[in-house]
Amino acid sequence: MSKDLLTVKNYSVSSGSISAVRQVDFKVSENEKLGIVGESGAGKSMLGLSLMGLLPFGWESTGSAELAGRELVSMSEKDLVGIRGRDISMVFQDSLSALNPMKKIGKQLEFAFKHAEVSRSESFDEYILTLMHSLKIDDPELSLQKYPHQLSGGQRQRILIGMAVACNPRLIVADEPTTSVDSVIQRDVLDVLISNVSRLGASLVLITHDLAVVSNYCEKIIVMYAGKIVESGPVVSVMGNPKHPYTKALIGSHISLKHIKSGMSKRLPVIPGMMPAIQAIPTGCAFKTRCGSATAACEVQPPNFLVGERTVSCWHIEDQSE
Amino acid sequence: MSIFLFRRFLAFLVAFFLTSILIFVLVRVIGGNPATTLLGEYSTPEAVREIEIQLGLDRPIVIQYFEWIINLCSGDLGTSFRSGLEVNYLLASAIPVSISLSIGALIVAVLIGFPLGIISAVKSYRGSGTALDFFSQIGVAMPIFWSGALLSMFFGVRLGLLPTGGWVGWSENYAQSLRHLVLPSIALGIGIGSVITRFVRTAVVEVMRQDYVRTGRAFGMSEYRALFSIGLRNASLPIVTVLGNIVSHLVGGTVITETLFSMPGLSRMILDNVISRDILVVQNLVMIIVVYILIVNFIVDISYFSLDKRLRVK
Amino acid sequence: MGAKKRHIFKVLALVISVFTSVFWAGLSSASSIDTKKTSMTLSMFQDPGRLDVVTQAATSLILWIPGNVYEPLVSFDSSDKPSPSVAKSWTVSPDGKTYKFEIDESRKFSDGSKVTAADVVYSLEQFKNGPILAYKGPFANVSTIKATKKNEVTIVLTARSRGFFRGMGTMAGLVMPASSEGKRNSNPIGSGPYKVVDYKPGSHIQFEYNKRSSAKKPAITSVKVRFITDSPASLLALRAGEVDGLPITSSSIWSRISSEGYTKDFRKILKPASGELHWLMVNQKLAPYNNPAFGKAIAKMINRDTYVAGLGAPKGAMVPQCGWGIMTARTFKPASKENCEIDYNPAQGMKEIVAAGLGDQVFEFVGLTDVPSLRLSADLITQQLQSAGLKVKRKDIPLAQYSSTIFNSRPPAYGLSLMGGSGTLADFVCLDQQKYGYQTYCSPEYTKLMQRADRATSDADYFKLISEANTLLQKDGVVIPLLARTGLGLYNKKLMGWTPPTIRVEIRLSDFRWEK
Ligand code: SF4
Repeated sequence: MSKDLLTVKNYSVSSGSISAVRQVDFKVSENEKLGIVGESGAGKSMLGLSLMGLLPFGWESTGSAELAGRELVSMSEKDLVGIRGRDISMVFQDSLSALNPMKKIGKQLEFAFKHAEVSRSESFDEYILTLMHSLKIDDPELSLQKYPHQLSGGQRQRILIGMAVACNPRLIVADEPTTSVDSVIQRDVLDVLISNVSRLGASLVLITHDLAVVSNYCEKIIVMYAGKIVESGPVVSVMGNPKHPYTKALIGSHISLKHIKSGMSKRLPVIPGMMPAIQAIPTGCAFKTRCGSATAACEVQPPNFLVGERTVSCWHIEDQSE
Repeated sequence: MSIFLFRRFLAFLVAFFLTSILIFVLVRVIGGNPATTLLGEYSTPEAVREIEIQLGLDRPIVIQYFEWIINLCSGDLGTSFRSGLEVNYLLASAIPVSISLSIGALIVAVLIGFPLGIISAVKSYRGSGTALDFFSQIGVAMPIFWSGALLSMFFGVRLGLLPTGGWVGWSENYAQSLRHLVLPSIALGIGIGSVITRFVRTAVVEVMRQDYVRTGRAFGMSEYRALFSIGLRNASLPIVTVLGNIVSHLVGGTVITETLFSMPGLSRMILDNVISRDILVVQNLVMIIVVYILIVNFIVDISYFSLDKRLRVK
Repeated sequence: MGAKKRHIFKVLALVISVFTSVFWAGLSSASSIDTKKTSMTLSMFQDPGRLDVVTQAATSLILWIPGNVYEPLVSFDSSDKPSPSVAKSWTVSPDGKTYKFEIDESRKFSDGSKVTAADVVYSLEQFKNGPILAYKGPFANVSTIKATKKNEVTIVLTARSRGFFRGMGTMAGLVMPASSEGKRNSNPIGSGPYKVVDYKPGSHIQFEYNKRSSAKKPAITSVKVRFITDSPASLLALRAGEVDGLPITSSSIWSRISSEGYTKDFRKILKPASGELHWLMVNQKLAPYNNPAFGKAIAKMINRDTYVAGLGAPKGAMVPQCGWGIMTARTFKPASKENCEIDYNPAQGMKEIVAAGLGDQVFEFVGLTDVPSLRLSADLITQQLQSAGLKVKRKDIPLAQYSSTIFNSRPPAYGLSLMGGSGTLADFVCLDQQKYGYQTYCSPEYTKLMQRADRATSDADYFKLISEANTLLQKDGVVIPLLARTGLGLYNKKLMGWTPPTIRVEIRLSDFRWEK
């Protein structure tokens, strides 16, 4: 087993009494690709932003998150500025709003390259062109002279990926990198992301609500519900044999939907009922309002039971087998 | 772009003619004529009539209008009846005063507006900027004759540091001009500064909320740097849109400021001529200001149009 | 977080330091001019716009140019005694119709040219044919003005006229070189003790001692007259020591002057010969205002003491209880029971209105909106008339509209109006309407009395006739005086030497001196 790159323990993200992420524990090893899935509002994006230290005003993270031995939670803004981009970086979801509309693509890329250690054999421009090539952007020189709105969504998303990988970070957090992209080319964009991650030997945290994406590209999966990790473990086992009622419902409805729409829609299917808002999370198991297996025991928050390589947070795990 | 330009230019011309007609009519509606005010209450009717003929006030009104427009367009602003001097000559001494005051006030306004706007923006997107908001509200509402009198009273009378009014030409004594400019610039600049403060504040808050600021920070840009290199830069561009607002503040404010501080500028010249009913001069001077404002708005429109290409992506 | 804050403060500190350095650059160059021995700065509420006294009658002009730049043909002292000026001597024919003036050839204009008889003829013709009615008055009976010798001017009159000879010591008698034609607007040339060296429209007039003048060198040789149109600003400039005197203050700031201690800290000068003069005018050509009972009743409804106090007039302001004798300082007599027929009695006044059948009539009171010192006055008057029970509506019009109606020979539609300014006795003499325009009021009897006074051969006769004329005006109740000529000037306590004007309202700069 390879070394742990990111170790998150008892980690919460909250603003006053409201929590978006509640006491989560997980690890990301070097070279590992972790997928985080869940409905909107499950806390995935806040988790990603908090790791970057980019939480909106009023929000703060508690607990522990160590990146290669350095504690992120207590890190000063100055140190955070130092590690952003070069140790940990992020691919944002809405490529149009995530790029400065007033600056040319080249300028914005250049900024992301600030810390890049360009080897002596190639000039800065060559390096950018190499990268553009690896991003599979046609006519890179021309694209660099354009403003964001002059590029297609796919190209913009690739540029964002390029910015994220520019400084050879060790961990890349990709927050819904394909939401704003036409479904036809989502695959191309993801391929570019994965190939660049692999090229750099970096680790990836891929935040998505598309289970297929996770099963295709990731080794590990975390399923989040109302700020909690309800199930986590190797993709093969979790997807093949989900233990948590929420995971089951997620996979079940996903497959049925996939059937009906013949793969056209990769959006998370609707499970009856609504995920509680973060201001109104009930005590005990947060899923109890929608769970078919709920009993009186569920009024108490279930711990993370270890089942083989995975954790499951439910009082009623029917099948203890792997 | 060229269609847009053409349309804006047409609008400019229409505005020019409409305002010129408006001014032409208004100036005649205020009543009175220069002769009676100039010669005093006890002048002879012949003298009054002679002056009216001299000023062309006896001609048909439509002819008066067209003569005026033609002269105006050819740069002939006529002779001030009040002083017997050419208006162009009077303008040559009045305009530098007004420009100095406008620039001085703008410098003060920018020095007040930008820092306060930024601080208040930073405060507001991280919590409370209420105190600063309150001050900027006061700044907008504070009348110049009040703040100006207060400034003169404190710096001029109490401390005796700066002149309470008057003007010394730049060519005569540079340092004295500067001294005479300080208080009027502050008095006029405070109000405009408050306008800028409020605008910068909203613009910066708006920009800092944008995802691309977060993107910048994700690649190692500090919050401070993001504020100045993205926030301010992107926020300054929409400021073009309030330029018209600022210019109208400036023009309106200089009338009061020049009177309050006894500065022989353009606005004071207009006021003096309104009082003496030198209507031909008044309508020329007001038209100059109108053209100035129209040109500024024209430039604003055009620059906003080209900026908008990038701004309208949302 | 801490680092960020510090950055912002760094920027702020930079901004503040730039700002203050500009500010201090301004301050540090504060010059320490204190050559107050030979120079002074006075403030003026208005820029005259042009300096030609022939075509421009604004107070802001005639305060400065006559008496300083120009000299009159004959000068009169405050008791009306003539003494030589440009004319070093004169003779009058026994019938009082021919005057011969001997011109003082040793006098020179500030441009170096000699004062000649031709210049005198030129000057008098200018005023005689000029546009200002008041300056034409003295020439009413003049038939010819001729240079009979190189140094002699002979003037022939059609009838004896005191007004003519006295007029030669006023504006109408100012002497200017014929060569100054067309240049007087910016560069007036005269033989007086000062010359204009710089006139900046909107800013100032700079006077310097005219070395070519035959007058003795004044104590103060350099005088700057700054235009400060904003009255409160002029008070601040006085406090700050930027100006040494405000020769004329608007009645709108009188109450400030006394409440803020200006009268204690500065030398106060009350000038009966220039300054504020307010009166009510009753239109005699418009019904129902021309009802003889109306004016007399109105006069009873106005409490002048309350009115003058309401204006915050300076202590010593002259309050006319009645009569038109306020018009000239010389004939002014404080009111007393004996000389006053009309007393303050609003109930009686209202009774008279009702008796005349005007009880239900709604009257209009016209105030002039653009004469700031009259706005408060109009408020005070409206208030007094209304509290007496008169149905009166306030209407505001601009001065120019008022005067242009009159000058266009249209009967003015204003029944009762408040006037302020430089009223002279001549204003109520009946004039040729075709020639001089429309008058709201003139009295033929009054006109006759005034003409007789002009021809009077002795002072006693003259004053007797003038006083008779006053009584006539007073009885008519169509010109209701409110405030006698009261002006308030404020000067630095060390600046001495203000003297009352004799030409018109001029301030004689050469009389001023700095006290040690
Ligand atoms: S703990 Fe209870 S409510 Fe929660 S998921 Fe398990 S069975 Fe359902």
